[in-house]
Amino acid sequence: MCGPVRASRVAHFAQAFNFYKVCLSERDAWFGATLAALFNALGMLLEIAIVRKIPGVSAKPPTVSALVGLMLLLVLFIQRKRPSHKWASLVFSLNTASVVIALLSTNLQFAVWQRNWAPFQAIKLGCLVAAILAPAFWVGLLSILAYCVSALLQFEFFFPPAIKAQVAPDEPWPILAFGLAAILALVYRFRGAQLEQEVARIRAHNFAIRRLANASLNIRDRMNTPLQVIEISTDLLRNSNESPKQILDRIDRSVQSLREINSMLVRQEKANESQTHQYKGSRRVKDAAANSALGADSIVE
Amino acid sequence: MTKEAAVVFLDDSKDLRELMSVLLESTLGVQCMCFGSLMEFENHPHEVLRAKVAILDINLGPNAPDGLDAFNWLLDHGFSGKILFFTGHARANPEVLLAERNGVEILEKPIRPDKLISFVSSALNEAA
Repeated sequence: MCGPVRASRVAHFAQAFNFYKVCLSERDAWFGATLAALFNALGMLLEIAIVRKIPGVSAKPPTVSALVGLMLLLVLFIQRKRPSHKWASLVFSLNTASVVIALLSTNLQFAVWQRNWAPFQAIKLGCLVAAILAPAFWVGLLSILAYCVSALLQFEFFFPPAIKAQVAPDEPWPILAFGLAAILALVYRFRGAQLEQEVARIRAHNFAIRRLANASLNIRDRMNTPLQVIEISTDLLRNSNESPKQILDRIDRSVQSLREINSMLVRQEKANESQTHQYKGSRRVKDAAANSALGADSIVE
Repeated sequence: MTKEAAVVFLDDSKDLRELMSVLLESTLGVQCMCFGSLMEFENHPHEVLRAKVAILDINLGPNAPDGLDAFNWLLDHGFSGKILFFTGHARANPEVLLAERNGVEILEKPIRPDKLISFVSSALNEAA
């Protein structure tokens, strides 16, 4: 394999690991946070319904978590016109904290009082939901770790050995398996988003190039007609009896057309320069290229 | 415009239409009927279809039917003469390239008048 090809493949391979830097659209981030808050509110209402049938398990933690979920939903609704990654991440993290605290408060009670308690089901579900809805990679990863690590620590240090042996003999391995699966799902999701963004960027770039090429062809066409008029006019001036005044008038009009095209190109060139300067160093250089292409199109329309 | 023309010319530039008419009449002695749009072209089917040579510009202005539409109209109506495309950016269009492979001549603007006359003259001879 030759050097440049190998270097390109290495660069491509390295780029594939940049999925953690992927920034979802603000709307997607907002939607993920909203669904997570809604899931907290509704899920905790179901938890309250379960808790009511089990004496010894407090309904207070799920009630508080459901209220927190509703409040976060309200915040997201109020701010819906100005969605931002920062707010979406903050709300998602607060929501995760609220669910984790509620579950930590009731896990041991469930283990003691519920017959046939399936250990840490809600924690495992939380891991998967975080992987599916997290508004940013790091927020999702921290949420998954918060669910898993809190459950593991609680299980290891706060569950009496008798309860551990009785209700969860296989733990902590299932929690770790769910945590790992959730992290892989999160990686897969953000890698997919990275590829989608890359495809969209390449499409936009190709679109801009095509528009520029079309604009260039149209400009050539606009310039070549007056040039042709001048060519035939000079030939007729030399070789025919046609009135020179009419011919010269046509030449004047053609020169004027060429001047107008030139002025439009100069104006467009200045606009391109200013846009390139404006976007220089930012990620929107290709947007500037696309805008220039659109501007060039407008010259000939 | 009522006289039978040997050449029909379709171009959106008024100056070029007038010049082409004068040039062909003064050098080849043939009548050239000029049109500024496809609509005008289609409104004179008898004159157009009887011509020996059709010279078509491709770009006939923004949002207007182009020379390729005129080309297809000629084929659909059984035009038996020679067709020349006369345009500023012909070779970028795949349909034009396809037409070229089927024997349609492409003249790129700006072309020297003597060459233009020579092409039209050859086309007239071939059509005859």
